[in-house]
Amino acid sequence: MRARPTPKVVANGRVVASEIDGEFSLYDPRSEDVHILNHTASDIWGLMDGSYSVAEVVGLLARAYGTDPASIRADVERTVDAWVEVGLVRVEPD
Amino acid sequence: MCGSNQIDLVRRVTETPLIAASGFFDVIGASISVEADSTATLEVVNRLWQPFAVIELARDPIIFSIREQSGRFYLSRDRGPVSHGDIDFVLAELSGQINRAAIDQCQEFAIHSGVVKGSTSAIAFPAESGQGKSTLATACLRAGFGYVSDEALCIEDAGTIRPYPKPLALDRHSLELVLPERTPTGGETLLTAADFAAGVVVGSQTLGHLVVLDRSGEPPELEPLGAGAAVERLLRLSFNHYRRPEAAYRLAVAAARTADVWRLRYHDPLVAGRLLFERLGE
Repeated sequence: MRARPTPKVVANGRVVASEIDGEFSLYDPRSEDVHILNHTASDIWGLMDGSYSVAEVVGLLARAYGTDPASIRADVERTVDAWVEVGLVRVEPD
Repeated sequence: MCGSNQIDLVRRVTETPLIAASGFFDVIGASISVEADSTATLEVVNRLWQPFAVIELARDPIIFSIREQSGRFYLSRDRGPVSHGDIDFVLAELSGQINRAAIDQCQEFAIHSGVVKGSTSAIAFPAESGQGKSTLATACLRAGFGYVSDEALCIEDAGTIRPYPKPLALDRHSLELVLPERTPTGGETLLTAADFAAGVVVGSQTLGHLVVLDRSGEPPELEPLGAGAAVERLLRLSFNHYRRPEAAYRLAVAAARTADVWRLRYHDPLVAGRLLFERLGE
């Protein structure tokens, strides 16, 4: 039986991301909106390179923070969903 | 020559206000000509806008005129009436008009901010109108800083700062606080850096510090702040980021990266000015 493809999340190429002191700010030229990310959101953004699914992002961050994935899953999913909604990231099939 | 003609000529001359002289100013890109029918008025104008004085103007200027009639002063712009009142009121109106024209034509990324300079670099404190930029700027001049602007931080494409040392505008309360020896006028009083024994900064400057103002009270405190807050603040308080939004974003990020970012908590502007000079003046 073939495994179901796992969609990956990837930053939209048009978005300009700038990192200062470990925190990202994002500029979307289409909407002309600027998003200032806090430290945790910046960690999530740093994994939006198309290599990982949302579940994998949760796992990687949980390991980095030394915490239970279940305790951060909702926050990560909510953050990525919000970025998808405004077009900062998109979900791509594996 | 007929005597009655001579009288008629004299009457016409006296009834037609004469322009005593004009001052030419290049105010961060805005070409401004100010005419006055008295040399005394023009001397005041030239003193207030001296940092922008030029011999001639490169482009068609906006022409302001100040004329006196029966003790009242009349301000016009490109020959159209603007307002009238006593000389202090008219000068404040002129200052507002020139400021709006300058900001409108400014090609730099411009942000609502007070800006002063220590011995090496500029210190900007971006803040909304009415949040005490001018009062803190004058307190900083009293503490020993040089004057860059009480209105706008103008960031050039190279990331450097273009000084905009417009006349400092203080309301009565602020004037009594920072310059108690000066008699307040009815409305805003226009001042120069010289009134505070401070120098005017000329030429492009490096931005060394960005200070976020917090007037929540005493004791005065200056503490480091994340650079992300500075990017957001610079864009939110910009006059003109909408003209070139991506360039404005990149300049805001570059400024936040280059400068140290601080939060200044204070109540008394004079105390805050001294604190800034002690900590960031070198």
